[in-house]
Amino acid sequence: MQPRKPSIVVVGGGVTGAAIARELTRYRVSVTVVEREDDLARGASGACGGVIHSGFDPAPGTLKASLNVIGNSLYPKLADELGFAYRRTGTLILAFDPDGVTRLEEIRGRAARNGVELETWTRDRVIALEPNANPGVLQAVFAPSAGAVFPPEVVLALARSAALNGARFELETEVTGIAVNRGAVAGVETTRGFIPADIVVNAAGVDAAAVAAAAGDHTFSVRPRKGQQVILDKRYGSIVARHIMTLPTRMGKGIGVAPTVGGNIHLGSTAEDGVEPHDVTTTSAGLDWIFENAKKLVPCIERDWMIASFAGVRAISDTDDFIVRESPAVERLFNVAGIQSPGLSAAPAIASHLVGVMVKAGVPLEPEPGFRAFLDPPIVTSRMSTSEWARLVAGDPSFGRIVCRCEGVTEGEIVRAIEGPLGARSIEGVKRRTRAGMGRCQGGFCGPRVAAILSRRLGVPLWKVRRRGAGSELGVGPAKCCLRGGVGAR
Amino acid sequence: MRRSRADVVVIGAGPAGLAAASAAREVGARRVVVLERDERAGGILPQCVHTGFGLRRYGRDLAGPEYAGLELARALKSGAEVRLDCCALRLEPGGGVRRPNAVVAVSPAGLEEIRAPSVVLAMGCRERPAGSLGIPGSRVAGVMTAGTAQRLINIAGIMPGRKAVVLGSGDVGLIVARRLALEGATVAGVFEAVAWAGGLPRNVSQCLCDFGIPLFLGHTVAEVHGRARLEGVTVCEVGRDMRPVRSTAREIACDTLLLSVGLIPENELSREAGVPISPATGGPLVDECGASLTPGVYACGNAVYVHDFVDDVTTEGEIAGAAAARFALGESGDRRRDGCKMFFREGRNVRFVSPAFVRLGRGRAWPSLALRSRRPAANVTPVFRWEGGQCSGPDLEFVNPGETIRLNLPVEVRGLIESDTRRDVTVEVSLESQ
Repeated sequence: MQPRKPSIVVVGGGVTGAAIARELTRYRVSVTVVEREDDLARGASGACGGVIHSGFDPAPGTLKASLNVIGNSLYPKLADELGFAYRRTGTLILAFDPDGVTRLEEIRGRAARNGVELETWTRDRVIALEPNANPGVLQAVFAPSAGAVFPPEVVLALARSAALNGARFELETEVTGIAVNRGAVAGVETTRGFIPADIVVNAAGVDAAAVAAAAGDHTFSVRPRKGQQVILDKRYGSIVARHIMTLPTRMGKGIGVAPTVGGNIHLGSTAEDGVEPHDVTTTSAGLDWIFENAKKLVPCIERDWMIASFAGVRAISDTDDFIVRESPAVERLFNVAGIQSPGLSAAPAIASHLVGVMVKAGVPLEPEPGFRAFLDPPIVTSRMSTSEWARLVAGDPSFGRIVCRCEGVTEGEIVRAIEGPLGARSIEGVKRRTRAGMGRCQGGFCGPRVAAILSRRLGVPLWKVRRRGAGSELGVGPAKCCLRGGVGAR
Repeated sequence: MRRSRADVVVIGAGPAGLAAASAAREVGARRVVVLERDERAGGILPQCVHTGFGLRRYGRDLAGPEYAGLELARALKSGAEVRLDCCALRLEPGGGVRRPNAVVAVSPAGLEEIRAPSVVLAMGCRERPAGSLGIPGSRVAGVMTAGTAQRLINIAGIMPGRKAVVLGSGDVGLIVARRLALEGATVAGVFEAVAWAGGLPRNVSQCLCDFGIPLFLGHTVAEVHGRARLEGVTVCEVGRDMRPVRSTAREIACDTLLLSVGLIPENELSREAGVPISPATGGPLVDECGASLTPGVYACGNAVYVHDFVDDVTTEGEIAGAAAARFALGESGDRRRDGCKMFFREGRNVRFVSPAFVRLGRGRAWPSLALRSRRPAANVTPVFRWEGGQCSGPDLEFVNPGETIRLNLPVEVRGLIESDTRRDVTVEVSLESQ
């Protein structure tokens, strides 16, 4: 008889948890991911700019530096396997004064130690290749290996791949306690019951310290650092071709102007300490700061170009480095904590590094020969050639019915996003899977139509369709409910 | 991909597109195809269940769906093909009758390309969304444009909330405020940052005053609160710098925030096709017949500028449709593209002027100009200035940014249009207070 497969619970469905879940399904283990929200990537992973950093910035010798550089190198292959959009844009760091030029020198030194290739660009080269960059630039360095992804797409693809390989995902399931038996984890208490586990991976982002503490591990702390961000209309999507940023500061990477894979421009982020762990509010001071500083990089940027603003909360560990280790306090509890920027870039490397840590800790990990690395390519009509699309419509006419006009998303794509594995349960869920509602009208036209499709496919009344999680229903009841009494009446 | 030919392709089956298609058929165009991406014709009219449509044109007080029904029936009777669920993906300008324009569209029936000498852009307009305002606070459910709420109530049959605040006093916001009140919801107020209402005076009177809904001028929503759903907003007075004055902040509990902060002509297709767009209106630069600066490409309705009345949209749609048909049939002087033009430019207290230009020469129809002021003003003189001359139009008692002003061209300007000038003329139009 074969020994029972170790059961592993991963707490947290962000990019870290999803990458770990997928990596673990390469081995003969049973994996369950628990996520408090109704969808994956609802924390910092889903609220970041999507830059795959090259790795010149983290302090040499840190885990952050090595995993960033390795993670960056894994992305092209991962994008190929999982079918998410990935584009190599490169990062261009501009210096505007002699002090800045000196600091570029420091960056070159750090990059060399981290093993990141950098080019030095003269002012003329910057202006020739990025004509909208501030002409006051003195010198710049360019990191060609930086790229761009759409973060929720990456997380969902990782999770779907994990699910395809047997991982289970329990959404709207909040961890309320970690059961510890004779110094080792025994399972996870959740709002939906107890899940026994031989191993718990704590990838709970900004709540990782609280999850560890629930098991009696008080060996680290995590501090929230808010980042507000802005998305600009696609019409201005070509103002820069590369991710352009200021010199990094102690608080973070400084402000960046980044082309996204969706064709927009992302501006951000602020770095605000002293906030509540789940404070994702935007402030007028934050948005002012973003525009003021983004205009220093690319002066033509106008506030009118904004189509969306949002905030995410980074998880900063007390060492400022990533924590990827077995808990010193509780056996078989693996903490993956303090995964702030460049967490998205590092995630694939964090996952494989964790496997190494587990093996060293004596976890028996046998390779699973049936692991399937590839996902079926997604159907994205806006990325198709005319003839490919025509063939698709001939087979299924719903792929010819455009629902979201700004992003060109069809009914067929929306239905697939709802019915596929880890399907969308809300309007936001559809948006993150298909881009429907992500364009310049921000769902003004397509929102009600997407809601109608969700209502039909999920079998819930239209007014109960959610924008995001519980409590975000589209309406309060059917029309006339406020007049008639009954559902929705005061 | 299926390929076919037509005389005129109309993009959008709202009132502008339907009128253009009817008129095109009526002046003799053979095949006229209207492409509509929604599942019903009429544009935004089917969700406008209130009355007030058709007074000018039909002398009748119609509801939106009735008006849409009349225009659709007329278009179908004229013999135009109206294709629903059919989204125009791109316009490829050809350059004239010999090299027609091509429109590529997709529908559940497949992809198709229609080549036509004339294309009429009638995509209407869209509402400025919440995201573009960047109102500080959380991203919660219950914040939507007024038009989305209107669609939810009148088409989808669901009630978006019980207590609403409206930001912005555009017409859609005023009408939806009334609708919510009629549906039994509370509307705590309409908050408008500037010192005047954005919508028509009749809507302020009939939608707010008659329903006891307060209008707060010089106020804005400074913050939204809530976790999953909106729980309240902070409203503030607006200072001289147009920013909220924090010392005046007060909280209003509400579960719905409706935005009515501007309408934007929908011209992504036009822009991508390289049709020149006016920065003042956001719509194509067109002449008095709706002809754009791209040969064979016409535009009409709210895609050109945002109109007050659908009746005017229909009339301009007809003019553009007829002109497009004549161009396709080779009957139009518009084929002579090298003619000189008179351009109208926005001067003092003028937000936009439409049409953007007229062609010079004898025997042309003189357009009336549609314009909007930037600020309200009393006793205003319209002044027309050009190189070497100026003249005034009759005084206006009052101008209001929420209402389109229609001006007939003074005889001096008409004289310029008829003159034998061999070069373009630019006329600046100002609204000057006495």
